[in-house]
Amino acid sequence: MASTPLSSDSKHGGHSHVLSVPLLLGNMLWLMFLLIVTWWASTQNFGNVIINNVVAMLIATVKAVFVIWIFMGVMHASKLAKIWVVTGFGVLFLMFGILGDYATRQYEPVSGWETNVPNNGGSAFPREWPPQKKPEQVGENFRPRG
Amino acid sequence: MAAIASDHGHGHGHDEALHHQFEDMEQQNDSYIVGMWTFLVTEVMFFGALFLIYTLYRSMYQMDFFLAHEALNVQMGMINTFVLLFSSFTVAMSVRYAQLQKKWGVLSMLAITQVCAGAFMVVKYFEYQEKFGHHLYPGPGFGSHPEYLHGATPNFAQLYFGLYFGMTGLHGLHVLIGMIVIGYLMAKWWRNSPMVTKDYIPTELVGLYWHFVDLVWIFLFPLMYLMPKP
Repeated sequence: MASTPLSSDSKHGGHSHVLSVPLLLGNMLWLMFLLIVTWWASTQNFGNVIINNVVAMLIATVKAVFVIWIFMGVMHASKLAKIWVVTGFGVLFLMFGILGDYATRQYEPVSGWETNVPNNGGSAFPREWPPQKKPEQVGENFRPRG
Repeated sequence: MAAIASDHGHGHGHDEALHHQFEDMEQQNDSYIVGMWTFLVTEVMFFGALFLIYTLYRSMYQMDFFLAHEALNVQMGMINTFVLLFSSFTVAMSVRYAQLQKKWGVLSMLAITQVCAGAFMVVKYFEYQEKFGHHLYPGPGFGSHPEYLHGATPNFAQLYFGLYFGMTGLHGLHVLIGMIVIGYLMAKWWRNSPMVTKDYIPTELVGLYWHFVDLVWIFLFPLMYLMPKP
């Protein structure tokens, strides 16, 4: 039987990769240092709220990468496992594209979906429940739902 | 099984843990790892949907979420993050000892992990108890003590605490499940079960699950506890 791609990839991986204690210990100390950096960054103003959020998420992402790469052993995993890991987080990234729907609702005004009404952040449903009256048609863009 | 494996004649040796459908231990281990990651990817999508909801509503009600988050105790969140990061290290060490087939090394590291997991749940219990005492749980009685809302609009603060309890609760459930699975793994090691002593993979897979639990918390902590002021 010919060697499968799965087994040929594994020649570089397999069960012989015992991670050293200094590597594991160093990774833990590095992660704890990054935790303190996370807290410190939350007390700083880097310009505006968007930058502050991006900084917080960047630090969290760096921490996550070190957990995945070293603690979860992906650094010594087969190419197949690596592709699978990257694809999984890639699909998560794509899922956040759903937010684009909410961001663009203002371009298509539809009754009940207004984003400029107080206490109504663009919900598909009226805030009063049960609804007191049927939503009025707004402009020419009204599209009946249901 | 061993007899079937020996019929393969690939010259890979006759490992007791090798199942007949695999060529060698490397291929078998790789299949386990990829299978476990498949499960973890579904978990990523599961939590990912909640993070998506969180992102949407926080972007809509930034100030209310910020004011509501001031009810959380950052010190307790920090302690829990330290505890989980340390437990990730002890789990990684237990996998190392499993590879070296050192029973007591594995058992001691997993025992420390259990203590860390227990400590995490105790801290979480005190946090939840305080929130419940202040009527900050979603439902009809929410916000009956407005002084704990820190000026946030009750409806949007309720949305924040719905996400807080939903996401940290689901994470806590994963910690509990992890404790049960680690307990089962420890029992196997204690009894010298060949399932774990002849093959390090079961310990590795439990370790992967535990690291994932840590991974979720790495994002939950800054998002829930350390919001920048809008």
